[in-house]
Amino acid sequence: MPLHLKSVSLLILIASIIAIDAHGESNYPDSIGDITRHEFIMEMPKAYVSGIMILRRIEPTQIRGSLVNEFGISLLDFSYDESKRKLKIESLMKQLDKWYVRRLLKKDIPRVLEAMHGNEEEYENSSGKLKYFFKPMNQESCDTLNITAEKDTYFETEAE
Amino acid sequence: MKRIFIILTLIVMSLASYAGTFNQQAAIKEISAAAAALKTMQCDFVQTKSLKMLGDKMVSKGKMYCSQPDKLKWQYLTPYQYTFILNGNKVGINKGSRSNVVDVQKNKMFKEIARIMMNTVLGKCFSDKDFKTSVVQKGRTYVATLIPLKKEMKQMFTKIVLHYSKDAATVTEVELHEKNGDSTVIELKNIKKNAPINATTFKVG
Repeated sequence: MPLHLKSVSLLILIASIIAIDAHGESNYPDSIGDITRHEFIMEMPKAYVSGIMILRRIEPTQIRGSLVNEFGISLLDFSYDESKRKLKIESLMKQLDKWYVRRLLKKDIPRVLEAMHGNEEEYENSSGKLKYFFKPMNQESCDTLNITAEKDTYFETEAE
Repeated sequence: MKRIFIILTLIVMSLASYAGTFNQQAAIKEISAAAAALKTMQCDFVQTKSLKMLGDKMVSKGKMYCSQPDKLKWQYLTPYQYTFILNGNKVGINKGSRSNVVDVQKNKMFKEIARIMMNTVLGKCFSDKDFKTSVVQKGRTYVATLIPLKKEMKQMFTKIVLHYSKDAATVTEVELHEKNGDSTVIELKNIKKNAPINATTFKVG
């Protein structure tokens, strides 16, 4: 086989291995206990909010998620029921806690999660005024604690 | 038996007298004096965010540069790139191809974040009337617990804990505890004090 054909074959082989690997590696928590992290940007007409979105599957159709800013300050904690396509806001940073922000998040975050599940990297909401960008993060520097999320304790804390 | 009792009494008395020698006000004075003497500071940092609801933690690393009274650069290098620069009343934020300049006087949240970052790493919160402060000594470290008193700060944090090394004469760890049970621990490493920092480091925009 001529050398250039060998090189092309090798390139095709490498490309197909990469394609298989990319397809096999999900950026969405598919199994219970799976955790994924995305760099996240919510872009408004005149400003943007950025941070990290962390998702964990806790039940076959239940996802829990948190959005924290780069300094580590929590902006949003939520639960999402995939079977009902329903988002529940567990906590929202006081400065953002307005009825219209809650309504917007309840509407848009499920669509964002569906887009993430489809390995997409952006979502534009129905009004066309907001764009969400999300990119899977390098997992190397992210350690997972093998502890069970303490739902009851969390809700007690929130109720205080 | 009598001998054991005497030894125990002596131990208890010595412990009581040791506890009595710790003077909280003197510790605060010591930390505040060190903060006042700090003109510039630069270091590496490791930030560990613990998410209570998800039972997860996330580690970010970067570099910090600070020049009194109002210049701060907080640069995340891994696993994401994000730079926050405070220079007087301006805050510059760089994230990927995006860069923004924010006037801290017009944005309360940024004002508070900038103030917390700057004052905690320098150990300047003690002169602040924004916190109720208590200090304990653990070996060669003062551990100061700051309970926020101001509304904006109370909305974000239940308490801030500073670890001040007497040997290094600087804050080496900051803990930020949030209302939802999450916490962030920032460890400061390879600290350089009062070394010149190029003015371009704090260039905004």
